[in-house]
Amino acid sequence: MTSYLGFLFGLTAFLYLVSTSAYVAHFYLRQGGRAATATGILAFGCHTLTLGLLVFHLRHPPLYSGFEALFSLAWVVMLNYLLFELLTGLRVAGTFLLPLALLFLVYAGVLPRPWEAAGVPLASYWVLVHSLVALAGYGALTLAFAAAVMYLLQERKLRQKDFHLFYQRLPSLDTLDSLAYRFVLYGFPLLSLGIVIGSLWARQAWGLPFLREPKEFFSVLLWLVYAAYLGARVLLGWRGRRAAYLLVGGFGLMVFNFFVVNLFLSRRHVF
Amino acid sequence: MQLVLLGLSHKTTPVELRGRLAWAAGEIPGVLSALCSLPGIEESCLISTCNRTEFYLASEDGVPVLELVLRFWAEAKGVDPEELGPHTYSASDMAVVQHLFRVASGLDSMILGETQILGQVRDAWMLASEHGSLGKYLHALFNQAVACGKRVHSETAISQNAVSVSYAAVELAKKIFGSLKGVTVLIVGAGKMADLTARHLLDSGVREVLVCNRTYERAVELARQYSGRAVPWEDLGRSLGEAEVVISSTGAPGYVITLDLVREAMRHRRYRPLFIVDIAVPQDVEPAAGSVENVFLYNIDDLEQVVLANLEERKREAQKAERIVAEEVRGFQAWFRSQDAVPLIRSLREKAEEIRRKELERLFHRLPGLTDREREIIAGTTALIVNKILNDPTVKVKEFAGGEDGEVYLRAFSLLFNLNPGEKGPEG
Repeated sequence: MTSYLGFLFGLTAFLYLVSTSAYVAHFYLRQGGRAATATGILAFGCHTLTLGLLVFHLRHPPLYSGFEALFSLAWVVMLNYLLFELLTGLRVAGTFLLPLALLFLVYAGVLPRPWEAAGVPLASYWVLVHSLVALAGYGALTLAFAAAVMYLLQERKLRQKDFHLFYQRLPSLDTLDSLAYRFVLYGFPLLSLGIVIGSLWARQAWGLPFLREPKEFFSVLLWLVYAAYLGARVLLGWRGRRAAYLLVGGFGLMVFNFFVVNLFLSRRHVF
Repeated sequence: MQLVLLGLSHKTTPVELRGRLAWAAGEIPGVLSALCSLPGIEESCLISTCNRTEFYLASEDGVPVLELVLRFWAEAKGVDPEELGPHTYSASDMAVVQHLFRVASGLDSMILGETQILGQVRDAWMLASEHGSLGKYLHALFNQAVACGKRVHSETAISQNAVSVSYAAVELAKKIFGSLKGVTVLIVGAGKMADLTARHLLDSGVREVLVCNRTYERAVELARQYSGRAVPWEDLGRSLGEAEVVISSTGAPGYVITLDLVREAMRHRRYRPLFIVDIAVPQDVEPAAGSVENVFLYNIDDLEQVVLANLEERKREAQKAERIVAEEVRGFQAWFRSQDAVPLIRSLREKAEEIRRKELERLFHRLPGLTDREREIIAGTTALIVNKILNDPTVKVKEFAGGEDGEVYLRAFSLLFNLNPGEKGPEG
C-alpha cells in the first residue's frame, strides 16, 4: 500500500519541472509571473502533502535516508523561496532556485525509496535535531548561492556591456549582494549549531576524537568558508565578485559534503 | 451616433507646419465652442501638443463631420484646406477608439511608451469637460482611454527603462547601487551632458554632490547650482575615494583619471564599487581603469548601447501593450453598441406603462366599489408585474446589443415589441 507515495513523489517532481519551466518562461518573456507563482505554490502544496504522508507512513521525521534528506532539503528551499517571493516580489530568483530544487528531487529519485526499505533503527533525539538544523542551514545557504550566481551574472553583463536580457531582468548588484549576505546571516548560525550538536553527540556516542569523521571534517571546512565570507565582509568590507565566488565555492563544498562524502567516505552518515 | 477623429502628428506632418496648426491651451475653449456650434456636432474634444493636434467628435449619423472640421481648422489657421488635407488622418467609430487608446498608452508617440502624453490626454479631457463640450460618448471614450493608458503602464514595462543617454547613466548607477539614496556623486569638468546627468541623479535623491574643476571658482559656482561641495583640483584622487558615482567631462586632451589614480582610490575605499561615466571626447579616463576589481567604467558609446537595448525592450513590451489596447477597445465597443439599446428600452417601458395605466383606469371604472387602499394595492401589484416581466428583456437586450450580432438583436427586439423609438421624441 505504498505505491501512492511513489506516485505522489513522481507528481511532485513533475510539478517542479512545470514550475521551473514557468519561471524560466517568465524570465524570458516578462509575463505570466502570477502563473509561475501559482505553479510554484501548487508544486509546493503537492510536496508538502507527500512529505506529510511520508512521515505518517514511516512514523519518523523524514531524515533517515539520502532520499528523505534530499526530499526535505528541496522542501526547505522551496519554503524559503516562496516566503522570499511573498516578501520581496522578486520572481527572478525563482528562475535560479527552482532548477536547484528540481535537481535535488531528481537526485532523490535515483536513491532507494524509504518506504521500500526494511525498518531502520530509531535514531536518538539529538541526531534528529542535528539533522534538522543542518538541513535548515543548507536551505538558507542554497538561497545565498542562487543570489551569488545572479550577482556574478549581472556583474559579468555590466562588465561586458551587454545590456540585453540579463541586465534587464536581474536586480541591482547591491540588492543581490545584500540578499546573499542576509541568507548567509540566517544560514550560518544554523550550520554552526548543526555542527556543534553533531560533534558533541559523536564524542558521546562513538567516542571519536575531533575531526576524525570525514563528514565532520568537511563540515568544519564548510563552516570556515562561510565564516571567511562573513569575516571578509564585515571586517574587510568585501563586496561583490570575490565575496560571490566564496559563496559559490561554499555551495560546491556543501553539495560535495552532502552527496559525495556520504556515499563514499562516511559510514556513519547516510546523508 | 458616430465618433470621428481628425488629426495630424509627427508621423504625418513636419514640425514647422505642426507648430502652425497647433492650438495654445488658452485658445482651446473657444475652439470647442466653435466646433459644437457646427451643424450636427454634439460633442468635441481637442488634444494639441507639439507632436499632435487631434479633434475628437461625436455627432448624429450621416453628418459630414470631417469636411466641416477640416474647413473650420483651415479657416481658423489661414491655410488652404487642400493643403491641410494631405497632412491629416481621420478615422471613425472603433478606429477612433483604438487610435485614442494607443495614443494614451504612448504607442503612437515619437519615443515609444513615453508617459507625458497620458497627462496631456487627461488634460484635454478635463478642459473639454469643464467647458461643457463633452457628452456621454466622448466622456466615456476619454475616461476609458486614460484607464487604458494607466493599465498599459502598470501591466507592462514599456515606460520603465531609460531611453536617453543621461537617464541611461542613472539607470546603470541604479543597476549597481540599487537605490541612489546613500550615494555620493563626483562631477569632474563641466560639460553639458554631465550637467544633465547630474540633475537626473539629483532627482534620484543622491546624498551629496562633489564638484571638481581645474578652475576652483568654476567648481564653486557649479557646486552652488547642485547644492554640493567644491573640491580643489589637487584633491581629485581623494574625492575618487569618497564618491560612488563619477561623471567626467573635461576638455582635457589627455587622461585626467589615470589607472594609477583609480587603483589608489580603490585601495582607499576598500574596493567598494565605483561607477565612472566618461562623457568627454577625447576620453578623460584611462580605459584600463575599467578592469580594476569593482570599477565599472562606461563611455558615451556604452550609454548609447543601453538606450538601444532599452528601445528594443520597449518594442517587445509594446506587443503586450497592443494586446491590452485591443482588449480595452472591445470593452468600449460593447458599451458603445449597448447604448443603441437605451432608446428602445425606454420606449418599451413607456409602452408598457401606457398599457398598464389604461387597463387600470378601465378596471377601476368597472369596479367602482373599491376603497382607496384597495386601488393602491392593485396599482402597486400591476406595476410590480410589469417591472418583473420587463426586467429580463431589458437587461438581456443591452447585453446582446454589445455583442457581435448586436444590430440583429436590436432589430428583432424592436420588431417583437413593435417599437418605434424615433417617433416618441428626441432620443440621445
